[in-house]
Amino acid sequence: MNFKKQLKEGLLTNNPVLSQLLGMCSTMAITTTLFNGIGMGLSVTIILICSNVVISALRKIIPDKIRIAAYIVVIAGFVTMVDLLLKAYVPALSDSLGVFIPLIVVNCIILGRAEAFASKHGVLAAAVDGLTQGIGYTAALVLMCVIRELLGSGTFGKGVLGADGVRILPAQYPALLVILPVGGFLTLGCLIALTQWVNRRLAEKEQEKEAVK
Amino acid sequence: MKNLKYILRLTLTLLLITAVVAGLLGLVNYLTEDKIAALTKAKAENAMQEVLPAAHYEPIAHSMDGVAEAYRADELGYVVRVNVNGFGGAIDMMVGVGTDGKVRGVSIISHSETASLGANCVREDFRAQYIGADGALAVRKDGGTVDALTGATVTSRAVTNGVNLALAFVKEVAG
Amino acid sequence: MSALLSLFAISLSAILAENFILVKFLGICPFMGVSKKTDTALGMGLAVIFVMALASAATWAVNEFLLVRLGLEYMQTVVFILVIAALVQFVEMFLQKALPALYQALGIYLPLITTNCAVLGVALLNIQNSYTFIEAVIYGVTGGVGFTLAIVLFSSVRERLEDCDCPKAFRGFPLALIAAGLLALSFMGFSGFKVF
Repeated sequence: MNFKKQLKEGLLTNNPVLSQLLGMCSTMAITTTLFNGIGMGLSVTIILICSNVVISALRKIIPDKIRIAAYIVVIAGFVTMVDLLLKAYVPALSDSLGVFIPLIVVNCIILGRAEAFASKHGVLAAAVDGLTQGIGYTAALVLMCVIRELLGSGTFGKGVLGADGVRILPAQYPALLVILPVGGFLTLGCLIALTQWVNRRLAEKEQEKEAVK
Repeated sequence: MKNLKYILRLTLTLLLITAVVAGLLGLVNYLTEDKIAALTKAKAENAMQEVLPAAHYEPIAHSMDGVAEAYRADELGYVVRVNVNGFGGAIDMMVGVGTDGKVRGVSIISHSETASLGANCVREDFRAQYIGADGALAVRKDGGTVDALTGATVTSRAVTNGVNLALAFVKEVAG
Repeated sequence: MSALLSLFAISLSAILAENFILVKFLGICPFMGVSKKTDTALGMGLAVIFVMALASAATWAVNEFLLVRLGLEYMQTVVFILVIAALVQFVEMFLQKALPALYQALGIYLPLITTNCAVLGVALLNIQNSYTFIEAVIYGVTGGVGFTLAIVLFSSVRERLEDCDCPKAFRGFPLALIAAGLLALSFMGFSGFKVF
């Protein structure tokens, strides 16, 4: 299986947030600082890889009727583990993400990948899928964070490059509404439009290449 | 009969998976609970020292709704730990009140407010507003003198309510 | 009296100022998925109110009488989501027998209530806010009412968006999100709403 191809899919053509339109609750709610974005992205990627691996390993044993319930239990287990580990070792992230850490359980991306991929492929393939989809998710989050933080607070890297980040715009310029809920909807809407445009162009280029052949 | 066996098999498989997950979680919990408890304790102790430094804090009885802990800080006054409901969940804060009935300091122990908005309640300049107050406080929107955080009225109100609660408690205890 | 006031405050904030979808971002997936037609949106909203109320009650009880007693608070996420999954299963079976038309209309979105962030979210927030049983159930009901309000309002907006002229890249989802953003902006007017 082609890692580069899967990575491109995870990042662009099949990006869980921007193309598949999954996991939007967390994408809009927590993307106000870079710290949140990277932290959440990493957490979800780890949980995605772990649950994909376990579900793939158990795919022949889990009866079809109860598979969704079984997937949910496995995912919930990993989410709670990450929750406890964060509370103990990175309490700042745990406080900042709040209720959205346990809510990773119902993040459509993880259940979606389990159902669509992990339950049908081997362990290694499932792990790679978890990794590439997780990277795509993290990329989408980071993009949202950078835009919203820059336009809404005028800083970059809050929580990562110092507690207040690097100030790029003077304090009186940023538009507060970008980090308020409105901004979340608007930014994500524009990013999805951009992704759709890019994907369409890529598909058209592919078609041209095929036509020339 | 075959149907029953099938349902039984389904239930048992699910129970087994749940049991394994629960077991693993129990292990992780066991490994982390001490660290988490120690962190929470340290946070609270640091907060107490920050709002009203003293050599010894004597726990006192409390029965007011929202007051989680209360201590007498030597002869300097009282330190009250209050829980109020903010925007994203409970806000755990420590308020130090001197014997003159005035606020000496406010420290936020933990919160789940939105980053860049309500999360700014931990900033020094926001908390410093409460120092020296001795009566019922309110945010400017409600006719008071406290400057609310930009875009975070709910959080600001919650913290203000917490301080008022602490003041009311100390008044009741100290007379 | 003060208990009644606090219930009223919880209700008002759950419906308006701290609306589950437009302010707290809980329940976006069904919000986007079911809001194309107003009657489906209303049906979904009512189902969610029902599930949120039951879920609040059930999870509060399980937490209070089982998890806290046994010191198993860390199992909250796993247990709550299982309780919710079971509840949704029962609601599905009930609707299939009692209101088959609604059951058909909701289709795939009914089992998806299990993964609705708003349902698990309200269960967890009840515990985080240390609500009493009554407060938890009221929060569940009114949170669902807020959800329904947002989804019904949005569906009528979306019905108009069907025929509008806009750049190709924005058609469909992006436009819906921007419209939702404007709806969220209007709900901002409720923020800082004070009861007495």
